[in-house]
Amino acid sequence: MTSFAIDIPASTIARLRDGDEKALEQVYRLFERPVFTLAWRLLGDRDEAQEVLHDAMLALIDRIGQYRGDAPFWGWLRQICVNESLMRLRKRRLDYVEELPEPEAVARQLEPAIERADLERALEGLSPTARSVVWLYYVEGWTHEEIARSFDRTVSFSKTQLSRGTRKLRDLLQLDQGVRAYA
Amino acid sequence: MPDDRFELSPAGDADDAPLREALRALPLQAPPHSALPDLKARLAQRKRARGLRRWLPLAAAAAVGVVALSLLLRRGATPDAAPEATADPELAALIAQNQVYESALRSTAFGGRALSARDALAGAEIEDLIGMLDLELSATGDAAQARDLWQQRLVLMQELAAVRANAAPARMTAHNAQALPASWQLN
Repeated sequence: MTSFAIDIPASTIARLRDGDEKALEQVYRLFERPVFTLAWRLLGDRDEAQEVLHDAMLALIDRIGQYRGDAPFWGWLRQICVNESLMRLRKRRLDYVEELPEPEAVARQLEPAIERADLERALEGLSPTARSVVWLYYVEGWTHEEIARSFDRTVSFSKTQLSRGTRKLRDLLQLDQGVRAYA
Repeated sequence: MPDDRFELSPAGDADDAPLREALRALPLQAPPHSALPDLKARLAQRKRARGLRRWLPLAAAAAVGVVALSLLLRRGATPDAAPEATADPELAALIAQNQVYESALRSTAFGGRALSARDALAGAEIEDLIGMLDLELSATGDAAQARDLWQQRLVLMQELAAVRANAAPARMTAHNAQALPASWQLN
């Protein structure tokens, strides 16, 4: 289950529409980390993720009147966060299939167990686009259709990026070289 | 540390369930600093702007109403209709001077000329101010206040006459332009 899946009472959303500061604070505190984490995973840059957190919350204030309530609030806010993040990715004008060089620290990793820190480093070894697709698919539970729509690309683009990203992650974690991870 | 270790499947399929679980178990990250103070300030700013947008049309409508009412009053029982009714010679003089300007402005000397947009705008604004003064004059019962209001009205009449005088092309000199009220020195 995505960390975004937090239900907000309708009364809080109504107060947010009225510009209630307490309601804003309540929503901010609940979603601060999910929004920041998602932006960081997609962008790979803490400073930019901080800006996305700010801009997404500001967009929330501006567009709360457009929220109809026919879908979960958290899904709506998450979409704003993804849109803000992908907009920044597009501005970087990176090649969609660009792959960053394999980090040496990860390549040397031959321990029988996979640590979180290694997984974090492996994620950093993916291109921003592959990392975004991997994260949206595995963690946020998006379908290939949803990912393709957000990237303004085809479904096969999403599938290809997921396949490449997964393979790259496994390579960086050396999972297909006879090394198994055990809890 | 068991919580920091994940079992990943060796299979290379695109939908890797163990990888999904491992990724989902990664902890949430905290931002370097809170965005809340700035967001609160922005919220307050937007709230003020929304309030202004809500009241501005009403305020504008109220202002138009005041001006319309004052114009109606001027056309009916205008305050300058009975200067002889006052026993205050100073007040009577002010009223008389106002009437002189009014008569002059109604005469052909000022009438029938095409006004530039600049002059028309300035003239209309001054007329509105005169209308508001008339409204105050019709409501006041205090002689001192009436004198003050008539004095202000006289100044406005002079300014209006200057604007109308500037409308004549032959008289559009720098000197005449300076005769405009300072607040109507338009660029």
